[in-house]
Amino acid sequence: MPPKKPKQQNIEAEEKLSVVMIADSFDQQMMPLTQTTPRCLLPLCNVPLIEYTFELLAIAGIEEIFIFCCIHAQKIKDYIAQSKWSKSHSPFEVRIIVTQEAMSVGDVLRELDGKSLIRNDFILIYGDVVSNMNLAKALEAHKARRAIDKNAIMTMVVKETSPNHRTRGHQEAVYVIDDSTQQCIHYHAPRRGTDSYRTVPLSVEFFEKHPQLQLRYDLMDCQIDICSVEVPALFTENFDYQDLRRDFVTGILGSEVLDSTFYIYPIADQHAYAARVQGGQLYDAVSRDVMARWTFPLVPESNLQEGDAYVHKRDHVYQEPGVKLARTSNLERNVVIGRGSSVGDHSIISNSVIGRDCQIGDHVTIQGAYLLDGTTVAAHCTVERSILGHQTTVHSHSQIGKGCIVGDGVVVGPGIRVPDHTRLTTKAAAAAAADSDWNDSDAEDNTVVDSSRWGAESNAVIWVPSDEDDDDAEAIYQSQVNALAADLGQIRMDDQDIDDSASEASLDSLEDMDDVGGSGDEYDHFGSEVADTIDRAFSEGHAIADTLLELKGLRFANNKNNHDIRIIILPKILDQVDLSHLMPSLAAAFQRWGELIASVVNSDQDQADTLSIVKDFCLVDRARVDLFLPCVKRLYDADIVEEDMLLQWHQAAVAEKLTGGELLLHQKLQPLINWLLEAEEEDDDDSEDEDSD
Amino acid sequence: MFSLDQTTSAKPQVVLEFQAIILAGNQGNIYPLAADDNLPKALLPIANRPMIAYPLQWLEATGIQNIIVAICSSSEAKLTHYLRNVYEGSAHIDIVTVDEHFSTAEVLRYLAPRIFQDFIVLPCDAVANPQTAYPQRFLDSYRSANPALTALFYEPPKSEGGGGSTKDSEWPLYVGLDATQQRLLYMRPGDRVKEALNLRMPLLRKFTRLNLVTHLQDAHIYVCKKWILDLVVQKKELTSFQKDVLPLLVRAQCRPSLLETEGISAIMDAARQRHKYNQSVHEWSTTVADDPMEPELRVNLYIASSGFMGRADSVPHYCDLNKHASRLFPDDRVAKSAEINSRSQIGADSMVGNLTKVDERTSVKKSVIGAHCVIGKNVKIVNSVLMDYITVEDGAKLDGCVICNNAKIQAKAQLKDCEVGASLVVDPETQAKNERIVSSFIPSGEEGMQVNFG
Repeated sequence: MPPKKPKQQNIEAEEKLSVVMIADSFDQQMMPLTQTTPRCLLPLCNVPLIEYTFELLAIAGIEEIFIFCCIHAQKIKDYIAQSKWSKSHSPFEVRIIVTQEAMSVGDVLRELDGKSLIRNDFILIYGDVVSNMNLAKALEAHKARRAIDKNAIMTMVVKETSPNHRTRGHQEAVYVIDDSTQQCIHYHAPRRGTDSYRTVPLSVEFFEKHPQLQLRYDLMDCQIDICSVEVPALFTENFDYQDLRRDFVTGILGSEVLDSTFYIYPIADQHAYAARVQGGQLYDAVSRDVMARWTFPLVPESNLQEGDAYVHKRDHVYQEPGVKLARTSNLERNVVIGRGSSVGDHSIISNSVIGRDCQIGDHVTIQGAYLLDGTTVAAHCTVERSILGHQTTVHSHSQIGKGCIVGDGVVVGPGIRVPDHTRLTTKAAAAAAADSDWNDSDAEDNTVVDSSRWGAESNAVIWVPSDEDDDDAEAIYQSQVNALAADLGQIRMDDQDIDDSASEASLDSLEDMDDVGGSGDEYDHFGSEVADTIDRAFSEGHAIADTLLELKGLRFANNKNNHDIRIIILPKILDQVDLSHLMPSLAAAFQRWGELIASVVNSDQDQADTLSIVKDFCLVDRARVDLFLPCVKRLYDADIVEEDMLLQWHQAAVAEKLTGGELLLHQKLQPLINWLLEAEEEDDDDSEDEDSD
Repeated sequence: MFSLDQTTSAKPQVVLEFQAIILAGNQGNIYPLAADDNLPKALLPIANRPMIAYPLQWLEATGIQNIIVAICSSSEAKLTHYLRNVYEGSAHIDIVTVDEHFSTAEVLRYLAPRIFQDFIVLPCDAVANPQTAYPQRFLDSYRSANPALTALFYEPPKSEGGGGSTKDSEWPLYVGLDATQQRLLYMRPGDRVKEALNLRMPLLRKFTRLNLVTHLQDAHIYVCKKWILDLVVQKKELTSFQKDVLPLLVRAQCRPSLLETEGISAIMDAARQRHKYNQSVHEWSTTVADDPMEPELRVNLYIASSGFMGRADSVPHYCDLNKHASRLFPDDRVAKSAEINSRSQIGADSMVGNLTKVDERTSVKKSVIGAHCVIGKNVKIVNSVLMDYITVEDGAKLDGCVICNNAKIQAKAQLKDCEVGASLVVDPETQAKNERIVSSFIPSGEEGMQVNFG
């Protein structure tokens, strides 16, 4: 150990270890609880989530934390002001930056760059990460790497976890890494309803530098990243990036200009735990893990908050002094119960967290539920796999179904049943939300309908999500599976037919099945984008190189090949030709765009394909027949199509029985063919039988 | 002529559980070496041993006794003579003549009535170091994992400059392995890949950690369950074992729909039934594997990290393998019966065959010279392969050449990266580079190449 210490001191001396913590979720996963409390202050096992994150950072020896708050900034400020982290003995300095208008991680990082607060590598983390990992080791690894690879801008902390593990929260990402260095070459986030859900495209170029790649689908994203100062700057440069993974990592890795590199840091320690509470399902999973002590030492009896006094009893029951338990009540297993709470006769509680000052009546069953502080559940109620917010009241003989989230202060019952996956909020909160939100009509309608539905004394209404702009299949799926107590059986059903579509089974297509493109729908979308690109290039006189770059981008983004590009751009370019002044305008078109065509035509097949596209173009209109021969001649002169290929293509076409327009076109071509054949014979008369091949 | 048992010290145990099939019919891409007037491909010398001796010895090292060699009619006489009269191994060799144009799967279909148990297929051009123990390990990995098929993969050794007039365009082979590096999950030859490989997500959902590598090559040596032969027999559209059968099996591993539509599961079920029956009837039988068949279709691979050297499937590979293989026999680099003039130099990296004469002031480097050759004065031979009965006259220079039997290189000819066909006479003072010098009754060098590669 001795040699290690001075080194560490050295690093600390020259640069402060800083952390950027984002204290906003930018989503509605935990609504309506997050109407009043930011997600990072929601209690998990009766401790606000942010405490777990602070604890992790304190152990790692962090000195400075920048907390970016957006919504509920004041609440976070107040909380931190009264917490131990702002006391003089706090290991780090906490600075809070309020950015009300930030709507995404990208916005926050741009803000960070704008304020130029950071001069060194920093850790990017969220205020709702629960982890007991050794961050210092990850930092060390990052620093060592930076010393070798100056372009290493980011290290993503990941943990090996089966894709179906409950803490993975159904994030589906494939990391393509170089196993020897842990460099992340490609990041693939499959999205439902697109090609990316069915295949992972891997450019051949990856293999040039990295002959041995590893595709890892077994990595859970811990949402902890070690970033260099370039990361916020890159966000500023690319002002449209929102999401850290989907936009930033994918975008920078796909960039041909930048050679920034990304690495992963797989947590090697089998006992290390790391997860971000991203939604109801994960809230449930992480709570269970904390109770089951996977997160040791971050367990309830560590009493992370000042003033807590939990004691660990048998069967993972954690109890504070001052809890009144009726003699016939039963805390079965995995229960956390806070001070001042009481449980009535014959009530059974298991796998649940009960906050402080909760009143639980007689004959109540609570299973897999989370009751925040001050909740009252009256006699003969059942609560299953749900979250009840602060100060909620459930009157007697009521049932709360699976996966419900009930907002703060809601009163329901008596004698009602809240169906599964209901989200309830108070009328007052809904009205407040409606005031600040511009899409209010739905909420008001519901207010009227709901008034008596949730019991005589109820103030509850159904919470209506405000419209989110990303309503694609993936987002919907994500919000479904990440909901509390999601019934995976039902959601997963429709996956199966994607996985095993029987249509691909014929043996002929077996070989090239991997190359099969997407459905017609996407094609049109792609087609119109390419067409737009070309039109813009025509009208605004773009340089060939720029246009090409744009087309390449489109091609990769949509997983297309050069054929798809050719079939769109060739007709576009030929459309430019003025048929009444055929020769000069054709010459001009080729002068201007010949290079573009040449750069999307590479192999022999490409050449044949190009000829076929031109032929099809000319077949459409009688007037274009005269265009065919000069156009092919131009292609030949520009070396886009080689002599051999042209002859081969022509002969192959003539060999079939041609009719109508096609026959006419090939007859038109005959002079060129004859000329080529003669030239060839002159060229090498010693091997006459060569073209018989 | 060739002593083969010098290297195997202890006789391996006799193995009766496999039959082996050596595919020696196809002449492959090594024109003009394997022309009718020279030698069939299987008999081309590698380090002065016929090529086919290597796979045969490989099999003998595993203890396999039952070997079928599939040959074609054009090479029937020479190969039969070699296998019956010259080859000294102890295994029982069954020679079967098949149609010259048969592809690998067609050969198997033709041989099916003779195969009644798990089998090994290997090409005649698989060259391996016979001294290593990996053939047994390869079979052991098959025995212990009990998959449908185990393929042998190898890391190709670095090229030593090749030789001959063609340069290989080497395509990488994209190979996908599971985390344990045992299962073969993906295979795609580089020449079929345009810009990107598209891996199916369901594959990753099943095998969450997938290694995708380009440094391995398929040795074309496969050990298979008997039912794979049933599949080949049933599905007439499969022509090549390596290009059709293997990819089909690899893909079917995580695509249940394919198992059904291609009838693989039906064949597997039938095999399982038969296996049960066999076990109940002949409990003493040793020819049937004892462990029950795995319910899941699995294709494994075994990586020979050393020992396997490559396949002589092109002229440059053939040249390289000659150099690699020549190092295996340090003791008889220069045959005792060879007459080497004391004023000539034979490099330590070269071989000289029986009764060959080398005259004074001649230097031979990195080359293999066959038997009964006559090398004149002041000759330089570098990086070349000379077969048998070749005359090289005074002052000739050969660099990166392959010279076939009975050829004559006359005085002061300078050849670089050329192939010289059998019985050909190269005129004095000829200067040639990157050419195929072949007998006159084959139209022209160019044409010959096109026929071969077309």
